[in-house]
Amino acid sequence: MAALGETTPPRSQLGTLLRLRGKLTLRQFSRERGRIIGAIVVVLVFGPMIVGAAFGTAVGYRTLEGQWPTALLGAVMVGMWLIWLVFPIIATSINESADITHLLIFPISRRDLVLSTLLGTFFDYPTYLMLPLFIAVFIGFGFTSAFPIVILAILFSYGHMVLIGQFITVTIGGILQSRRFRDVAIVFFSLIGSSCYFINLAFQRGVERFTDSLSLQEEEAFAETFAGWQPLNILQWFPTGAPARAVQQALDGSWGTAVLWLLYSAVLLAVLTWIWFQLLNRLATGGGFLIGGRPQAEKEKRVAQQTGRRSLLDLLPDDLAALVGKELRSVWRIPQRRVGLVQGLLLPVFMMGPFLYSADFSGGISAIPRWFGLTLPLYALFLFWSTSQNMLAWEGRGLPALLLTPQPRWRLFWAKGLVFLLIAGIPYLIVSGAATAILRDWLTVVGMVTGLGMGITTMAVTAVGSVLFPIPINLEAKRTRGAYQSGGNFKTGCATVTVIPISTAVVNLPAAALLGLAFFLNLPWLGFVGAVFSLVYGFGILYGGSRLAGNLLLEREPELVATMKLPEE
Amino acid sequence: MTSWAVETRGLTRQFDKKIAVDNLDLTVATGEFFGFLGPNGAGKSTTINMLVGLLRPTSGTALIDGIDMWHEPLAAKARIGVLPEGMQLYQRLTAREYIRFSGTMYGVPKAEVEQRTEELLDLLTLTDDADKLIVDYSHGMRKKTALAAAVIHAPRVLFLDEPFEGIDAISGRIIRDVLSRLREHGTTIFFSSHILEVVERLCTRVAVIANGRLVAQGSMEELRHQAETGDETTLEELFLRAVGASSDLEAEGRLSWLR
Repeated sequence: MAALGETTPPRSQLGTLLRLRGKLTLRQFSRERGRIIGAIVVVLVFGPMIVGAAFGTAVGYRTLEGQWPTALLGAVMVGMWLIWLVFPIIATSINESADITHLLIFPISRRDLVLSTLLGTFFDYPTYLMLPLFIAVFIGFGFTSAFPIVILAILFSYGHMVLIGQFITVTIGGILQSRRFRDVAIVFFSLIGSSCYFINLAFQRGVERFTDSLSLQEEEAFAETFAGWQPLNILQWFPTGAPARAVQQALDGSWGTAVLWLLYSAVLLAVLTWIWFQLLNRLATGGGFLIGGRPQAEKEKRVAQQTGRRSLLDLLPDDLAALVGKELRSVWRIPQRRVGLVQGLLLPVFMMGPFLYSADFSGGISAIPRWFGLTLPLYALFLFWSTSQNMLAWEGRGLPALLLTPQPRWRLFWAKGLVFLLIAGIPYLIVSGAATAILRDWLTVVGMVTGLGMGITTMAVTAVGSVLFPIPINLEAKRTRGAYQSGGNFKTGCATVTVIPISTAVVNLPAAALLGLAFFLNLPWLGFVGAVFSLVYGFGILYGGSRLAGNLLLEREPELVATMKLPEE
Repeated sequence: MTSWAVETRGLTRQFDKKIAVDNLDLTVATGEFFGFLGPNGAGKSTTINMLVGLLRPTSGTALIDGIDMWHEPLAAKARIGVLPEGMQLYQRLTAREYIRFSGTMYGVPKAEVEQRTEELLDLLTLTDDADKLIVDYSHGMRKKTALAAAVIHAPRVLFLDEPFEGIDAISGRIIRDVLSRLREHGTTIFFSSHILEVVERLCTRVAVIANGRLVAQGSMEELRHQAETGDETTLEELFLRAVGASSDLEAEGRLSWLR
């Protein structure tokens, strides 16, 4: 039997490390079924795109002439490297086992750590999304005299790509792991995602304007300049552009220069690996990430100190003011809710975008159809529904704390109703008010007021729905990727798309019927009566809905707390 | 007749086939400092969650100050303060905002809320970080925030689930002082803890639960008497005996490879 401390670590732990990596990769799918669906979606969406891109580039490598095949090779390699560079920023980790800081407490050699990191990427499915593009490179250049250089170029490029992800992680990991970064990233990527249509539209218009502005001679001169362009002269200085230059030189028969370019890439790889390892050691010995997160306290201190000032909330009873204040802070401080707020403001632009893009305004505002006022209640319905749906789930981990208090439950919903009225009502009144000011039509005025009443009514339905069909939301996801991860089940999912919309339609029927009648019979007085009725009716239904939701909540608080727990809690 | 601050009758909770708490009869007199002990998974947190209204019992009753938690939940909740397991707090509020919010929810007048919040922040050494979001807090700071929110309304009964877990010595001392002060002013304290020295030092009575069943209950003297041991027997020894656990590794020949 060995005495304490006498054990000798095995010569190589690479096999153990790779087995660990494989096991953790499988476990993350077996523990979180959502990940399987996510992976399938990624493969189904990106798979065909990448196979298509690989096919296109393979054809390009073989059929393009002059400098273009190797220029394309350089662009592909650098493009892939850039994707790996930003990948940790978008998704801080694909796989828990990819974070090798967990391993630094063990006596593992540097060689094993580096090799397991590189080889471990074969357990990440995005790696296989790169494979078609590498196969395309081989098809394009592998069957030439440059074969050995091509193989080395692919290997070096792959090494650079894997390394850069790790390098970014250990360099700015402090920022990537900070709550502020996650908050900003969630807002940024959500808004970018929802703005794709407009970015595409702006790009299309820009290209159209550029090409329209060119004369025939200018077009010819542009084509001539483009034909002589040597993009590889720039790309070659990137770590993965150098191997592309090496391939080009080998194809030209300049083997010495080709080897030199590969050497350049290899030196960069070695230097980066060394720096990466130093940073890793620094991390392991308590030195922290090279660049950490920015201290958060200052701004929050300013915000928090403002809470002591007198405000409009003082007009409300203390408990209601506290509930409203908490809800308002939550709307502003939880990034997902902030995104919802901004998207609500942008919604009319999204809805009107195609119309504005193709509309002919030569006839002035008369080009806008008379029935436009009827669309305002639809906007209100969507805005109030999207703002207030699943309202209890936004309490997040604070829900049990709220339910431990003796506060009458209907007041919780009443307070939420007031906040949603504010945050959905203001953008609604701005947009519909602007439409009313432009159109100066009784139907638009009536549509605006009726819409507001219908929006208020909708909140009563969503209040009850949030108790009966709650869907938990992960407000503190550690990764930006998981920021919208939520639970729920088949029943809640079905109810969200059936029971709640149908109930909303039913309770809004009286107000909608009066508006429709006023339009078809062209009776402004009926429209105005209907608009006033809609407001009174809306507040009445909201009050009744809050009471009902409060009673339902009191009956099922423990079950609701259990439902709201996310799998990882 | 003794007035019970906390009383359970046949309290039971079953999760699928597992009975987490089995027919629990427990009484805690007003003003007591009551320790609720048990090994991991014994049913301590399940019991506390049923007592405070966060987990519905399968059967049995839970009374707070004579009020049935499951028939008059709001009246019962108005009498208690809770530091729950996992400290479910609003992550995007600051400590100051959260403590104020809690006080207002329990109906403490506004001026009082302001004054008590500042006093609690100061006492729990949170003032310097009071305007940081809770999501950025350490475990100890969260625990102190949760405690402040649980006591701001001077509850009649205070439930604490593992208040000293993950707490440094200084914070632990402060929390102990706060609890002693509350008890002096009549608050009944019902708390679970793994730190038996603290329980021994603070509690007037102790109950031990194992596998969902109450296996011992009484003051230290009563427990010693029940266990037929001498006055020197520590709570740890009494506890281990009550739950039928052993710690004599050498006698059992375990870890024999450690030489």
